Order: sequence, then structure tokens, then C-alpha cells
Amino acid sequence: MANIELCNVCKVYENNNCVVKDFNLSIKDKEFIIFVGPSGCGKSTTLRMIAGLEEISDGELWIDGKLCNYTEPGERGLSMVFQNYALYPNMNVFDNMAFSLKIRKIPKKEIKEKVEEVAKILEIDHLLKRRPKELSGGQRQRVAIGSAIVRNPKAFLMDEPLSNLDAKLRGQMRIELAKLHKELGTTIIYVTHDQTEAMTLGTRIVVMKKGEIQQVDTPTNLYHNPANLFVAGFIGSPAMNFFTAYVGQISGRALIHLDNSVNGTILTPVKRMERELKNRHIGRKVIVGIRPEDIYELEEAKEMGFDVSKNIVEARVEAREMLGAEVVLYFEHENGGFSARVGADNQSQPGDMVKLYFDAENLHIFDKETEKNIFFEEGKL
Amino acid sequence: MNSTAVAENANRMSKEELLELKEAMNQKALTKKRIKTATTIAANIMVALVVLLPLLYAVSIAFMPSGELFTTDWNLLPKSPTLQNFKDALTKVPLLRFIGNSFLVAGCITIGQIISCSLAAFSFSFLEFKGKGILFMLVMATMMVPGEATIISNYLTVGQMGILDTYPVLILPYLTSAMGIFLFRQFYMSFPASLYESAKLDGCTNLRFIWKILIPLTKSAIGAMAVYTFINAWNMYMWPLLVTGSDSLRTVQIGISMLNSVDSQSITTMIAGVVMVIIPSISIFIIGQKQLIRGMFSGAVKG
Amino acid sequence: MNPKKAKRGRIEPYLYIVPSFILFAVFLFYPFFKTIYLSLYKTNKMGEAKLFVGLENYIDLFQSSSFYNSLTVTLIFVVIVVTVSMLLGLVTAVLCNRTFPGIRAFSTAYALPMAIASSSAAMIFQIMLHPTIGIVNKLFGTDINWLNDPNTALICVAILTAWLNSGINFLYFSAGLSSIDETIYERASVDGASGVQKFFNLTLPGLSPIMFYTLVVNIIQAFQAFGQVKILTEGGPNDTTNLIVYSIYRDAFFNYRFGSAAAQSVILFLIVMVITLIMFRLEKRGVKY
Repeated sequence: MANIELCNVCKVYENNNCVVKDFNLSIKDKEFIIFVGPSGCGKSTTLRMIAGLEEISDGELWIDGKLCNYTEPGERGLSMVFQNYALYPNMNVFDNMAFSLKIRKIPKKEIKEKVEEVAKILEIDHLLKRRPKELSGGQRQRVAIGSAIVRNPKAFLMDEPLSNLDAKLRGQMRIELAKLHKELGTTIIYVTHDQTEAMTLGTRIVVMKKGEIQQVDTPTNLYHNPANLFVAGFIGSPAMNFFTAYVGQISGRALIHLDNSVNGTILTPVKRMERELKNRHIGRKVIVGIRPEDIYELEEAKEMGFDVSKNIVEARVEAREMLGAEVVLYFEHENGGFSARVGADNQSQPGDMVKLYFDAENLHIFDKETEKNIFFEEGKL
Repeated sequence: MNSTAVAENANRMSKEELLELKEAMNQKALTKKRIKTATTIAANIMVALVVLLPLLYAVSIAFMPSGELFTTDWNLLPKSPTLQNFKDALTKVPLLRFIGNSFLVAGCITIGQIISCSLAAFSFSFLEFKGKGILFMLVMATMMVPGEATIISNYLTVGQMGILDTYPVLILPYLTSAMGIFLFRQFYMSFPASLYESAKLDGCTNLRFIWKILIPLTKSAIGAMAVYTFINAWNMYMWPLLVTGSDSLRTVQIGISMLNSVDSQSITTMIAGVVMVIIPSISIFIIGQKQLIRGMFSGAVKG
Repeated sequence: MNPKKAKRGRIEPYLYIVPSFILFAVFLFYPFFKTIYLSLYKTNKMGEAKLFVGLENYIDLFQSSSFYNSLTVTLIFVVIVVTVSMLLGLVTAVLCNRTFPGIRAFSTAYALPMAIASSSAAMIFQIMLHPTIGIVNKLFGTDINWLNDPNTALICVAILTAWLNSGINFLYFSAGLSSIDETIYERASVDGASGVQKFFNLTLPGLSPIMFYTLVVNIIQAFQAFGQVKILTEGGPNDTTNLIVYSIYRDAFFNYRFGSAAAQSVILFLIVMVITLIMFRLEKRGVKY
């Protein structure tokens, strides 16, 4: 049961290379926290600082109200699952799982019971006599998780635990991890570069870039209410479409003119956005983002009852990807390419000109300079 | 929510207290780290002194006037260092000649082994032929025969051949080695078969393939082999002792033992000779150490 | 492809191995069998087989106390050499396992003995062990004639040999240590293992594959010690350092009993072979991963 707090935690290497900057986060008990970001964003370093494998250059780490900056890794009461599983190659599965308990001089009988119980939960009880070398990737993964569980740690730290598995197994393990989290009710801090993993597993997600936190939020909020351009582009697949644009005013209304548009790709913002745009952004450059799933083919939009009198964009289909339940169309456009998710029955082929409806309700507008979401609301929803 | 985290901690203790606590812990951790490094270095210095003692002692004595050596007092370092011992060593026995002989012998052995071993290893790894498996097993089996077990017969053989007391007799038996063939083969096996196949398609002959492609690609293995073979050849003792008799053909290791037998007053001269003889092999070792380690262990450890 | 060329293609692979195989044939296979052959004969001073005596040379050996002595001495020698040189190699490798300032100089120092000839080293040790001026007596404040005392001569020769062999052992163990996955140490830290626990639970087992290999190489090498014996003790005092290779040398080149020397060579080969085979058998059955 752990509350973990990081206050202004920094990691600076000897050559003054700062990989984590002012990391502030308060993790409550039973949370499933995900650190996500592109490689080199400092997510693993942060996790390793929590584990005690990296020194904390500045700031404080509090575990259950105790300052733990210099506590030995073994005394922090955490357990960790490594990317390559880090199983002890010379021990069989049982000994691997029992190692941390043996070190703590727990009676043999108790160890045996505990290991067998955990092995049963993870369905590896038939493998206890095997050596890591004789196991498949998925089985090793389970052993690594099992070794972490037997200790009843205050929290689990997981460093890209699924990245060495093939796609199918990864999906399976993802579901099992979620189940396990529910059953064990322990805090999990989980590092991944895969936004799908982050979205499906996390109760809260920490998006990082170049050592700095971009946004900490629930998956839903990250998706609907990204704090900045980076988060908007990082979360969601296919990625959000971006257009550079400027905000103009025509007959008292704020309108968004997409760049390079000769005769008017103009988007009309919805009422709640218009006011802010009118007050502060007229004549300024912005970046407009819209997710592929918020772009509809005109006919489709009509059927769904959208007001199709405005926000229509015409573009030529460049490529088409049939994904089964839906089709992703890739368009060329004078303002750069973009993609749209449309129904599986859509028949547009590459080369076709298609009229599309942009759902203005779900536009995201970012300041060109600061790249911040102009309409970001902290703690929305 | 970032601000709340800070606020919560601030509630628990004042900023100054926190800073103080952190500073104290920081100091403690730093001291601990420094002690750890210092202990490591101290332990290393002690062990290194023990390991290097014979060499350091030899160097010290080599510079010592022989009068200084004969005392029961402590005489670790020469009080009045002199080069006389080295001069004496060079005049008492033809040490330069010995060194030249050793360079010649060790050099020929090294080049010969690299050529014969890389040719054989090429054949064993890229070509297909009848009996390949058995022949390779045979090569591996020779590694189990200790050289000393065949040395008598070899001596008798070269005696019958009438080449005792010549350069060839020092060189010939060592022109190939099972270990060399094995090492090169390990290296060649790590190349994809397509390397050879595409060269063949380009009309490359085998010799050209070895010369233009394999040798440049296996520089580290060749380097390792060269260092290892040269040092071993330089340090050969039993075989040269048996098959050479004349001073003009002696190699260094036999040569310096001639200094040994002169008289007990000339210990310092002898050690100076030993130091001179050790210098070439040590220099080659230090220069080639990186190559040696990379070449010998890149294939060996994984396998 | 014309038939001539095809034929060339068939011989060509052999051409590359011929140089090596001629040398192996002349200097390894032939002398190997010749040694066995000689061991069944009485020879003249020129080493020519004169009289077939069957196993008599062997029977003589096994009835001679000096041969038993030589075997015993060799075994003791091998045990000391292998233990000390492997321990020294292991300790030095562990000392250089984690990086620290100056590590490169130290690792060169630890590997250095492998570049030194047994004869050169023997001469240095001779002075170090000198009863009056040697540094060893001065260091320990003793007055021992190390090389002339039957109780200490063998140990001295063994320590010298162990020192010579420790260099390559350092390299073997260093390579073994660096092949151990770093993250298992990190996991052990998080699991709460102390340095000592990590060493015995992870480092030593992690070294076991290379340990076996190093052990075999060390044993074989220790059996072949010659130069140091020749220079330091010439087999004495009282034959306490009459190692088997030295005994072969003495029988052949001083006593001109080539038949007996050949028989001892065969026995040396058999011992080395049996030990090697046992080691590999053990390795297959033992810890393996």
C-alpha cells in the first residue's frame, strides 16, 4: 500500500546532460500509472530513480511519507519487472520466484506456499522445475511478474515488460495485467513507449517528452483534452491531423482559415470556442488539430444529422487502408496530407475527389508559438 | 495536481528542515560512494603490487650496482641507479643476436600460422568436401595432445632429417596450430554464407576472396592470433633448448639462461638481461591487448 | 564447366588444408604414434628402436618408486597451480568488474604475467627466493633456502607457475563476468540482495560455464610445466620437483632411455586425456544453462 510522491525530481548526468527535469507527481495507492513517451524521454530513468537503480540528482522521492532518495533499492519495498525479464539463468522457476523471499530469511514452508500460490494465479505452476532458458517468451514474462508478486511489494515497477513479446501475446498479456491489477489492488508504475498499451492499461497516464512531463491525466482526458500539440499527436492512432491556420474575422464571426487555401477551406468554430478566439486570437497563427475519427464523408455526415452547411473540405484520396470494421483514407491536401476514419462500406478509391465534413465540435486548436492547447481545461470531465 | 504534491510535503516539514535533511543524506551518500571507490582502488593497488612484484623487483635490481644487492638490509630501490648491468649483459653474451634470432623465429611462426590457419579455416567453413567433418575432428583432437608428450619423437625426427641446430627446426613444427584454425573458423562461421556466394557470383576466385574479403574482415582475429602466437613463440623454452646447440642460433629464453650460469656475482647482469628480454613481449602484449581480448573472446565465450 | 575445372573444384578444398595437415602429420600424428611405438622398445643412444620389449617399459615404470614420486609430485603441483592461479584470476577479475578510475592500468597489470616466459620468470624468482639477498626472506623475516628445502621447493615452483597462468585466467574470468547480464544484478538489488549474496547467487553461477573451460585449460597447462623446473631446481631437491615432463626430459636426454621416456609421454597423454574427458562429462551433467 503505497503513496509515492516525486517532487521536482531531476536527473542530470555528469556531462550536464539533463534527462529528467522537475518531475512532479503524486501517485495514490492502487493506481495504475503509466509513463509514456518516445524513446529518450526519460521515462525509464524516472522509473529507475524510483526503484533506486539511478541516483536522484535533485528533488525528493517520498514513499509513504518517508524521504527515500538514498534508501537502498532493496529497502524501498518495491519490486520491478524488467524489459528483458532479468531472470536468474542458473535458478529454476521456483528459485527465481523464491529468491527475494529467501534473502529475507522467510521460513521455507512459507516460501513454498507463497510461490505455489502465485504460480497458480499466473498458471505457471507446472513450470516450477524448469530453467528460464527452457521457457517461451510469454512464460518468462509470467515468471518475472510472479517473482515480483510473491514479495507483496508496496508497488510494482514495470519497465516495458511487454515489448519483447510478439503482437498477439502482447495483447493477451495486456488483458491479464489489467486483471491482475484489479485482483492484487497494488500500485503499478508502468513504463512504455506504446500509446495503445498506455491507453488500455492506465488509470492515469504521464506523457513525457525530453525529460519533462507534458500532461498527467486519465486516458479519456488525454484523448479528448490534450494539453499541447505533442500530447495530441502522440495519443491516438492513426495520429491526429494538424493544419496550420490563422484566425480571421468575417462579418463579426471568428473563422479559421487553413493555410494555402486559395478559395476558402475555412472552418467555423463552435460557439464555445468562438468567444475566446475572437477575444484574443484574431489575426494570429494557430494549429488546428482534428482526429481522423472526427472527419466524415459528406453523405455519412448528412445521415448522422450533422449540419453540413459549413466545414466541408474537398480532397483527393491518396491511399486507402481497409482495416475490416473501418476504412482509413489518406488524403492529399494543399495544406499537407491528412487521414480520415470512415465506415467499412465506403467505396472511395485512390484518385477520387471526396467531400468531407470536419466535426467542428471536436476541433483542437493550439497556439502556434507555445504549442499549448488554447482550450485546455485542467481536470475536465 | 503538481502543486498539491509540493504543498503536501511542505505541510509535513518546513522548507529549511527539508533542505537540511536532504543535505545530510546527500553528504552521507557521497561519503559512502567515495569510501567505496577508495576501497576498490586500495584493494586493486594492493593486489596489483603483489602481482607485479616480481617484475618491479626485477626492474629495480637491473638498475642496481651489484655491490648494492649483496646486503641483508632492505634494498628495494637502487640508491645509485646504473646502466652498467645492461652494458654487461650485452657484452657478456651476444644478447642482441639472441633477440634478433627470437624476432626472426617468432615473426616467421606468427606469419606462417596466420597464413596456414586462415587457409585451412577458410576451407573448413566455406567449402564442401568429402571427409570434412572427420578432418576437422582430427584437428580438434590434436589440441588434446600435450606438446611435451611428442617432443622426444619430434626431436628424433628432426635429428634424422639432419636439420638440428638450424633456423628451420625452430620454426617448422610451429607453422600451424589447431587453436588458430579453430579461432579463425569461429570467426568465419559468423559471416553469412551469402558473403561467399555473392563473391562467387561476381566471379571472385577463392584466393582472391580470402585476400580481399576475409582478411580485411577478420583483422581483429588476426591481431589476436598474432599477439598470442608471437608471445608464445618468443617465450618458447623446451624445444629450442633441445634442438639448438650453437650460440649463433640461440633464442632469447635459452640465451639468458647462459647469463645464469656465469657466476653468482653477476646476478644484476642476469636480471638486466631478463628485463631486456621481457620488454619486447610485454610491449607487444600491451599494444595488442585490446585486439587480443576482442579477438579471442568475441567468438569463444558465446560458443 | 569443363571436366578439368570440375576436378579442380573437387581437389581445391583440400589444397587449403594441406599445409596444415602436412605439419600436423609430421610433427603431431607421426610423433604421436612413434612415441607409442618407442615406448614398446629398448632404444640405443641415438633413440633408435632396437629391441621389442612389449610393455616392459611400462612395467618398469610402475615398479619404480621414482616414477610414482614423479606422478605424486606432479599431481600435488597441478592441484596447487590450478587452485592458486584460478583464485588469483578470479580475484583480479572481480576487482576489475566495476569501473573505477585507473581500471585499464590495473587490468593490464593483472593480465601481464601471460606475456612473460617461464624461463625469464624463473630467473627472477630465483633471485627473489635467494636465501640471503632475496626479497622473500626479507619480507617475511625468514631464513629459508626456499629452493633447496624439500618442503618448500615444490610450492615455490608451483606458485611461480600459478603466477604465470593467472594472467590468462584473469582474461577468461573478465570475459565471463562481462557476459553476465547486468540487469539481473539490478533485479537482485531491488529484491534486496547484498553484495555478498549477489556474488554467491549470481556471479559464481554465472561464471560456471567459463570456469569449466578455464579449469580444463589450466590443468592441461600445469601438466606441461618445464622451463621453471629446469632453471629453478632441476628436479631437486631429492626429486621433490621432478615433474613428469622434467622426468621425461631427464630420462631421454641425460640417461638416453628414450623407451622409458616415451612410455612416460604416453602416460602423460593418457592422464591429460582422461582428465579432459571427465571434465567434459561432468560439465554435461552439471549446472548448465
